[in-house]
Amino acid sequence: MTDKNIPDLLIKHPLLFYIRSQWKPFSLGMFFLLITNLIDGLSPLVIKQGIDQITAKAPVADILKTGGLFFLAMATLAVTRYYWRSFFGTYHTLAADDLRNRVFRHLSEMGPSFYQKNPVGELMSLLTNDVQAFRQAIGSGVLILVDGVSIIAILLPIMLWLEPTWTWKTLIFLPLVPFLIWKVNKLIYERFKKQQDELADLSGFSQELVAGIRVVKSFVQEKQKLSAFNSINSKFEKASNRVASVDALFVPVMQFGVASGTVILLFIASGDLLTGVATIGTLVAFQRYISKMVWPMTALGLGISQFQKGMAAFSRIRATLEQISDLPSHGTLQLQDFESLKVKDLTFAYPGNPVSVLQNVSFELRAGQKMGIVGPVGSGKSTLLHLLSRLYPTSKPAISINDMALEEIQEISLRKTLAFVPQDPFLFSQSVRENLSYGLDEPETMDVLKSLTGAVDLLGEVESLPQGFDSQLGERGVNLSGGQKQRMTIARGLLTRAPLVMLDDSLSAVDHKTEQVIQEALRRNLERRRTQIIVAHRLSSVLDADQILVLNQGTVEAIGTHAELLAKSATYRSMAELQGLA
Amino acid sequence: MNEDKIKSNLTWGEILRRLWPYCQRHLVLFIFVIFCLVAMTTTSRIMPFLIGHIIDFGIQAKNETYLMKMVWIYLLFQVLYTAFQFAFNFFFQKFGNRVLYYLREDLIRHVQALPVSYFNKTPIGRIVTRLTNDVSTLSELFTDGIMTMVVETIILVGILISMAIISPKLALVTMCLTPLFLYLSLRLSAQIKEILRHSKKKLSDLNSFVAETINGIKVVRLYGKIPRHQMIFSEFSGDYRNWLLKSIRKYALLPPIMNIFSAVTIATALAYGGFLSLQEGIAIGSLVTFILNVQDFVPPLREILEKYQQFQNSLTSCERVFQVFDEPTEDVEKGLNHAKIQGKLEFRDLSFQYEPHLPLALKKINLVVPAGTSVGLVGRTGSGKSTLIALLQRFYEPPPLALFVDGHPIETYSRATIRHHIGVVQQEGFVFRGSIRENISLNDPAITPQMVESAVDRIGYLAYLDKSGRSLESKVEERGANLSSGERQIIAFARILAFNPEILILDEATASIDSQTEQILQKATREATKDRTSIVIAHRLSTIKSCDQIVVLGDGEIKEAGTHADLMKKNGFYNQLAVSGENSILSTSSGPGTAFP
Repeated sequence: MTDKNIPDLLIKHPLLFYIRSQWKPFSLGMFFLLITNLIDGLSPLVIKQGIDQITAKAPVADILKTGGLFFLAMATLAVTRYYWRSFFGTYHTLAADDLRNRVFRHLSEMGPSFYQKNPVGELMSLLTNDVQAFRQAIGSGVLILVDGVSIIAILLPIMLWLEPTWTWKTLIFLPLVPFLIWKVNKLIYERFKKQQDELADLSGFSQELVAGIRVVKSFVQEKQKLSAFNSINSKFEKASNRVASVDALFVPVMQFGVASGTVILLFIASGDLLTGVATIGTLVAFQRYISKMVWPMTALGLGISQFQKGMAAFSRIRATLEQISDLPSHGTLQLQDFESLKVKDLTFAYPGNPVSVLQNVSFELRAGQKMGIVGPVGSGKSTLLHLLSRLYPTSKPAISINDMALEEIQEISLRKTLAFVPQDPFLFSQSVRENLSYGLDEPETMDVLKSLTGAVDLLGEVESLPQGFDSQLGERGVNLSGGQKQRMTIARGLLTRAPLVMLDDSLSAVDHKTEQVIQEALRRNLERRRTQIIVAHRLSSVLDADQILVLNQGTVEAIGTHAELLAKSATYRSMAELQGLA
Repeated sequence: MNEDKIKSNLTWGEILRRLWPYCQRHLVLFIFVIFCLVAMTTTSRIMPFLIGHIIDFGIQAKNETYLMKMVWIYLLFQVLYTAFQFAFNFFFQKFGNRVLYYLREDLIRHVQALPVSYFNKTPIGRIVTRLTNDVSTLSELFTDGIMTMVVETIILVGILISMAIISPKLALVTMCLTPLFLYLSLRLSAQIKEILRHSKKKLSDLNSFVAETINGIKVVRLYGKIPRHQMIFSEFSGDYRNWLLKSIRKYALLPPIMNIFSAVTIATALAYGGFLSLQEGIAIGSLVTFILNVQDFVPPLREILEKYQQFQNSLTSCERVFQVFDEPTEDVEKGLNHAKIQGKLEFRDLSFQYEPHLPLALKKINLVVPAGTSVGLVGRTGSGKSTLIALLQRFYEPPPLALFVDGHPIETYSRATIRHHIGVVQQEGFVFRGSIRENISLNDPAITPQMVESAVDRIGYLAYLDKSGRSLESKVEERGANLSSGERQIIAFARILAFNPEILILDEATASIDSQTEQILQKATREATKDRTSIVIAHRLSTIKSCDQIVVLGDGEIKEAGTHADLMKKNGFYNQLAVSGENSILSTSSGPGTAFP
């Protein structure tokens, strides 16, 4: 793997990778955990001593001493318990943060085919749920396993030392516990999945109902919808009850170990107790040990399943991290200014689709020229602009700027040279001002912002917003209309002062008068001569272009000026006639 | 806008009061659950006594037969306890599921009855969250939160009673520090809650940043801002991480507090109990019983604190669900019901505003539409077209005596009647998941299969389906993702033809559609408006020309009205629009409902 962002060890052994990179909090956490378990394992012996002293009617001072000792042990325990928790927590929190950053870095560098395959929701879930599940695996999953094993390693010798025969007889059923828990967990998981499926149906139905409420109301279908809802509702209830029936087993199964151990203890200990071989203190302490053994047994089952879940999540993360961007940014050449754009024999098909969207497209554009691209819906206009602005990769180099292949140009340098305004206006949930200056390194002065918003006929509308240029956009702010958004994205693109501007039918959402104003702004460049590529449905937008490219089913039908095309392109002529321009 | 609100004024008592009616609907199951709970707690408390009894009267008294007998009884109680525990857990969850079934049903019924103004004011996402996430949280709160708190509290009470039976003095001394520890834990819990609130906020900031970056990845790339977004992400992530670390350190304090508490109680029980046993002769068995009880005291306490803190956050969800229940609904049935109407519409000085502080959306509209005739509506966004439709469907209430259907004020009819007789084809035809047939009949029992088939046949849609290898049973995906927007509108037309209302409101589509769909749509338009009172928001000159009268709306007023020929002569707004081209867009229209505040 060449990506420095993703070390080999992380891909192969993520746990090892993070133990190594976070070794300090990890080992400190482990150290305190072991001390905690040791003290906790010894504490029942103190209780035994106390009870034996009471039974033997020892002096009060001795009993008080034992009480004090017990308290001291527990107080130490409190301190060590605090430390292992906070160190261990630090270890897996930092690890998760690191992984989250790596995944995001990787995501943000991926190309279009990746985003086509992976819906936003899934990527979000990768970054939150899967990273969280991984964190639980290397955090509490590992912890539970270490905790469980160390408790057994500490308790078993003490119990054997205390009463060897009691030990094996009382613990005989205990190994069953992890098995039973694993079984019950499996059952719960299966039924839970079914329940989740039903819940998804229920949610889906509700969502659709709300979205289509006007249809429901228009056709007075409330009763039908309610009974349809209830049939899903009742399926969900059944699935939930099936979960409940195994879920209710869980606690009894978990307690089965202590319960059986205690009953057996009472049966076998009575002889030793009657003969005085064992003391009541031993009995009480032993019962404590049996109940302490339950957790490690449960832990083994839980820890393994948590670890497995986390690793399953990580395998999804890994699959993503291993994908290579189809739009790598390896270019190194710098662009000084825009001189020319050349397209030669550009043929393009979307991945996995044999039909070419563009075929043998060739043209040339010089600095300061205006080019129009027209053609019916689906003729490949948008695709062409996406390829020109390197949002999609071409299978072989066909586009060059200043005679440098697009792929060889350094990413940032390319971005500063061309401003592409896509068809669907996308704005961030930030203020108007921040959105406008999005493409800039330094915030622009208010005067420039105002003159530019004025140029796209948006100044009045922005100023009438509650906080003017500082109004927040998006879900928690103001909602702009489609046309306003479109004009805003045009202004944002123009503000970068890129010498080459491409508009993908951005003028369709504005009325004719506004379009004139914007056209004027496009021509009247701020400092340099500006080159334009305008995709348009409305021919009036491109009448004055130096050349107009007519695309039809992915091929160039004709190139020329308005007058030339009227003569030589049938598609163009019929468009012009329809729009009253012929 | 109170989505971020985490603090809630909702009390536990209020939740129980709201849920009680649902509980009452299954009183028998409820009582059985309570019985299981009491039986479970009682057996669990008898068992430590048995141990003590075994020690005192079996071991200390060296009575082997009695000892064995008691051990068998202990075994019996263990079995009983397990059985009750299972029964309680199972039947309680079953009970909870039933309660939630009713709650969901009620909620959906209520939501369906909310007026359209509610849906216009509230984003879909928010309503859906109420119906899904918030209800799920409520159900978790009910089955996990409330259950645990009630159960553990009863267990605690049982333990305290047991201890008091052995020795009230010993019980008092060992438990005297409980309030202090309780106070400490609650304070810590409150701090943790605050930290969690922050970290949750940070996580949601992080998530929305990621969502926005991914959704706008094209723009991010276009402006060369990938490195900057990576940097911002790392800041967000770091913020979130720091709050998590804070919460971990606070959380780590909780078990030690409990540790020390249990240390204090057990040490006190040992020391003071030992002292008392020497002084007052408390039997050693009783002392062991006492210590067993003390040991059992901490886990339930911890559990209660944990759940209390965990579910504090869920209270907001519950509160939001209850708020939906508190929203006033509209009555669909109230009013006159007519099986048939003629279809005459009349507007008399109709003025309307959505809210008192908003400008008038419609001003003094006067218009008569004789039964069976058509009106073409022309106007820009915001001219009042959508408002007019909303009033006709009684989605909003017009002022009294301003809008008449067959000469009777619209408000005298029931909403159900009005909606039965006035059908609407929206620009964006909404379709449900299911088959095409189900989308046309809406599963209404009154719509027979023949009615559906005749509707699709009349507009040529059946032939179109045949040609594309599909049928009426073909699946429609969520939101009609596998259909073109034109086809979605065709389905909306077919629906209208099947339901056959006397009055039709049609919002013609502007979206670019292929010629075949276009043909069907034009045929459907002719078919649907034939002999039917129709109000058409037209975008094509050809459609509007064929209307019996044309009304040009502007700023909520009727600017011009008349036939196509009349209006062309006037040389006004209509003339300008019409001249600019046969295919031009006559009126810019937004999606449904955008006119609403």
